[in-house]
Amino acid sequence: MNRLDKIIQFHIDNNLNLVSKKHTKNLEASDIKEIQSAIDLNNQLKNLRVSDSFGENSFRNVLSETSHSDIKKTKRFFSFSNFGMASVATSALLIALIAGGFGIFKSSPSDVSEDKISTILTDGSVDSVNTVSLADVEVEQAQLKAEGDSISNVKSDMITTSSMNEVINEDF
Amino acid sequence: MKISNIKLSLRILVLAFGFVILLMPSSASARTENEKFCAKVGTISQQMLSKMESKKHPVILEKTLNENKITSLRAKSDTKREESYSKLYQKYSSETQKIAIDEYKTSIDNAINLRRQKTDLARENFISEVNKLASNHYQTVSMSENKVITAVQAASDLAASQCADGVNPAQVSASFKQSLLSAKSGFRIDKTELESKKLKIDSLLNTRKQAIDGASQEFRTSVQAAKEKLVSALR
Repeated sequence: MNRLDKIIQFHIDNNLNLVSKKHTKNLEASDIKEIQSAIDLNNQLKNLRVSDSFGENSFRNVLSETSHSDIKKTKRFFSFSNFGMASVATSALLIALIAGGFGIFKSSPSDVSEDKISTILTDGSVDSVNTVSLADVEVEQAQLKAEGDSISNVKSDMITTSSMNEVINEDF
Repeated sequence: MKISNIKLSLRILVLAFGFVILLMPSSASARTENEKFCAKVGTISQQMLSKMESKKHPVILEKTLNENKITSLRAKSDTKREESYSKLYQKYSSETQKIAIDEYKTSIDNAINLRRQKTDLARENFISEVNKLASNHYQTVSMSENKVITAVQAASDLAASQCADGVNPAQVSASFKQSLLSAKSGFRIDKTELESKKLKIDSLLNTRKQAIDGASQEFRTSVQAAKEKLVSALR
């Protein structure tokens, strides 16, 4: 069970819907990315707007155990449907704080951060001579993987069943 | 004898009359129903066709490559790499060292260009094949859907025309019903074939990955060799 799983499981086991900063501050960037991908998959969040009146130290978020085939590691995602608009608004706070902190909203979900390239230190020594080139390929590989996954998502648009003939009513 | 014959005839007549009276309402009802068919076939057909249109497979939008993102990443890397070259030139400034760094730079730049070319080819092939598959999938489903819609529309048009021409409504109704049943049973979507197209996308994604990983591995080998050559020249 990874760190994110543990946090979510803890809240489920204890029937908690309050996620405080002490819980999220221990998350690693990869955990945050995973949360973000879960959020992206939750279509209900598409129209959410972040309120200006967010509290700073604590916020409520609803965690619900569920499964989603696309989240292979945690098999869970955030659900907002059963908790009304108040929960939705406060949940948006969590997203905003997480996403704002990591700059996730600055780019599309399929884009990787370019920061790694910017922060590479090259001291001009022969030992570090390949650092940039190797980081370059690493960052590009991540972007290429995201691109490949995004394109292959077209599968979800390819419907293999049709109920059209059920509409035909010869007995009217 | 005559009187009894007359009585018998009267009884038969009364029975026959009663029978006719009993039959009259149902035949009138059937006639009314058939006439109703002609009155409503147009409206109901259009409602049916409208529902069928709403059930059509949504158009699959063509996927495009996000070239801006890749270009941006590469440009940033290029800038960073130029900085690293400059630092090398500053640190190792003799003519011999400069020649070694020139060679290293050329090797790295060539390796990068080769990797990018191979990568881009894999990306372009992948998206092109995926778009072809998705388009083909849509066309396949769409063709079947349009076929059944056309059949229902034709049956509706024919029924309306026959009703207008005064053809017996019972006959028109039966023919219409048969046409719809035929259209319904003729509607086939080969799910297995469509699923195989989706699986093909996974296969294409894997081919793309192998090509990109292969190019990446070649690149890593090339830059390592270039580095070793540079290190031995500078030390």
